[in-house]
Amino acid sequence: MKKNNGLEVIQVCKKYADQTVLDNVSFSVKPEQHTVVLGESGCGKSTLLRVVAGLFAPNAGKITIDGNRVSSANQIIIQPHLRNIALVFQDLALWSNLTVLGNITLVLSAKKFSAVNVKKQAKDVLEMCGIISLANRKPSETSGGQQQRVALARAIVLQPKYLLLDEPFSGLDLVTKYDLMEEIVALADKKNITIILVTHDPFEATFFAKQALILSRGKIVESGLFKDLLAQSQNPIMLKFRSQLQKTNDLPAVND
Amino acid sequence: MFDWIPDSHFVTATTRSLVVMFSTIVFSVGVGLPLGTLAGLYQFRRKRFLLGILAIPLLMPSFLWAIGLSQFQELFTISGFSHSSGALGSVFVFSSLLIPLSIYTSMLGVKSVSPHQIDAFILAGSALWAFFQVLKRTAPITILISILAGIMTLSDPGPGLILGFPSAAAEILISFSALFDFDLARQQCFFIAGLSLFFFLPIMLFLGSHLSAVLLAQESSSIKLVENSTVQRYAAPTFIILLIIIIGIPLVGLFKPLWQGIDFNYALKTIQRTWLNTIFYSTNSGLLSTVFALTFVLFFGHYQKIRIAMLSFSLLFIILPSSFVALNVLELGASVSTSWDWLFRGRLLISAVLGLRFFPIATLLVLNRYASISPTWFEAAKISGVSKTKFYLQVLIPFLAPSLALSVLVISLLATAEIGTVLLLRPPGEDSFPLAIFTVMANASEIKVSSLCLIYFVISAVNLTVLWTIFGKKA
Ligand SMILES: Nc1ncnc2c1ncn2[C@@H]1O[C@H](COP(=O)(O)OP(=O)(O)OP(=O)(O)O)[C@@H](O)[C@H]1O
Ligand SMILES: [Mg+2]
Repeated sequence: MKKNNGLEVIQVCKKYADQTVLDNVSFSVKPEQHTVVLGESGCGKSTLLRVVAGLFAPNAGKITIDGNRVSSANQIIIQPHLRNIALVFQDLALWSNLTVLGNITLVLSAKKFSAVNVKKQAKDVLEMCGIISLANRKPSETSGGQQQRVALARAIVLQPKYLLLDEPFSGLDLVTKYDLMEEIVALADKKNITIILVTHDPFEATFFAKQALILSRGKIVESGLFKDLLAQSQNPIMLKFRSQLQKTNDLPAVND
Repeated sequence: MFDWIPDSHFVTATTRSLVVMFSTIVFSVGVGLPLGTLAGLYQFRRKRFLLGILAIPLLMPSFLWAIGLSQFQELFTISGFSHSSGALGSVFVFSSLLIPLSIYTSMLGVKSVSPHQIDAFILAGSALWAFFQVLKRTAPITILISILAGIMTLSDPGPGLILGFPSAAAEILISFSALFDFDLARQQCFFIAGLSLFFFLPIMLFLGSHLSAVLLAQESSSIKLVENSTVQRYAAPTFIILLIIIIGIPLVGLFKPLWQGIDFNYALKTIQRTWLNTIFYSTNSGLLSTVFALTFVLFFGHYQKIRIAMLSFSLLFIILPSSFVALNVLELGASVSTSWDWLFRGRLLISAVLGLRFFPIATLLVLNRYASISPTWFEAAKISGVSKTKFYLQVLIPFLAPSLALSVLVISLLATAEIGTVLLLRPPGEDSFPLAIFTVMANASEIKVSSLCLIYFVISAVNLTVLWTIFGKKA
């Protein structure tokens, strides 16, 4: 076994037809160094997550996970489901004809657990995500926030080492959002999961990030420790973040 | 065979067909486009019910409508059948099929205009102006689909034969069923098939990606139907008048002889003789068609370009005269060894040919649902290692199930109304019910024919009601 040295993306390019969506993208994510991916709409964030997950091969460059090469130019070396990666899709991708429980058990059954085991693990993860009471409902019969929990449960039930989250908190009310974020970070700490989060929200970013990448038109324009970028970066996104967070800090203190 | 030149008699018949075809298209679009746009855009009272009734002509063989119309004309002792009344009658009968079709198509067309765009129109101008803006956008697809359906009238012999305006298709029917000259029939069929293609191919070029864009239009962003007091007041009566004309008149004519009595005995005997075959032909063609469509969609549904190509190509089966396909199948059957007789002399062949004919409709119905699936469904399965088989069996096919059921039902109903294929390919004595009506209509008494028609109508109406209550909620 090679050493556990995280995820590395090396000079990755990805094109759709003749549009270059990822242009020579390189970065690495150390274990448990939660990373946020920032960037304007359409800059290629979702595409980046898909390439990392192995849903399609990059047109150039390579990707390694824990020292093993998983993708290289136009080639998937290790299939997505063998990468220890889970992805919560931007549109959640819940299978609408299955129940909440069915969504989880189908994923579990792919791993050849015994039927009893599948039931138990599914129940456990639903319990953990606080949606055990919804087990027998169809996703369409639950609220937006509950659906996000279902998608999350389905992602973590296979105990991934990397959890890719594509704007999973959009449209949630503040309280639900913070509860959920706290639970995810706690879970990640407990199970040594590394999170890569795509977001537009400065507070979500601050909450999760040790590291940040800023994408613009498919290129990484800045990267580094999140708090450094927040302090020094002249990137418009970071400037906005800074002024936003500044405003919040300027509010009169309520407690302490 | 290819150097066959049609005689002047057949050329005249073809000219008649073309005149009827063009008039039908113009008339149907003229009526169907505005009414369909209206129904797509506005809510009005009894809309669902009225639109359901509108489907009746689509499920009845056109020759029944022709009989109905000719008997209705007798009611008012419109003297004899002059040429013009035969022509008008044919246009009327075909229009009563095409008008519902173009209404449904333009309703679909409205759905493919984005709701925001519609809101913007309504905010920007008068209601009438907004209506015409939407109508302008639904016009292309409605016109194109109506032309396609118009081409299909070229191969329908019923109305021309019955209303005394013998079309090319009627001549073909006479060639093989009265003259027993299969070679002549095949040559004539070839000619009409060529003519159909001549109109079909340019349309397909226009339609191309349009077709899948509109026909696969999703109602995800469901349109808030507009409420408008003028429409509220006049829409329902307008539709009722339309229904009275295109459905009421033929039905009154069709059932007129029943005032003198109903021959239940005869009808029951005919049903006893034919119901098994009818169900066999139609259900199996529904099943076959749907299985073809499902297979195709599962293999190729993912690829936009193949989808369009396949959809366009499969339309060919509907456009080509059914007798053309059937005659060629017969020819093929005659040329292969007798060890194939189980196929070429069997009843299943009819189901297969009918299934192929209606394949494009099955594909459309299934693809329409398939297209509403987010690509991330597949990605989510892939990333968690759910095998293809498991994903198909547990997610995809159950999700498609409603469209599969709808497809089986709709195609069974359409196949029931088809007589050309059954007429040519059935093993001796194995009539379907509508074919039985068709074969006795010239010799049996009016009361007998009408009794059969009544039964056919009642059964179709019941089927339609069932279909509409299960699947019609979306309209
Ligand atoms: N399947 C596809 N085929 C063709 N082009 C695509 C496809 N998916 C994405 N694109 C294009 O690639 C670019 C990047 O898309 P991507 O979804 O990665 O953006 P994003 O950064 O996630 O945007 P958002 O913040 O809006 O989610 C966009 O310009 C988009 O139009
Ligand atoms: Mg995205």
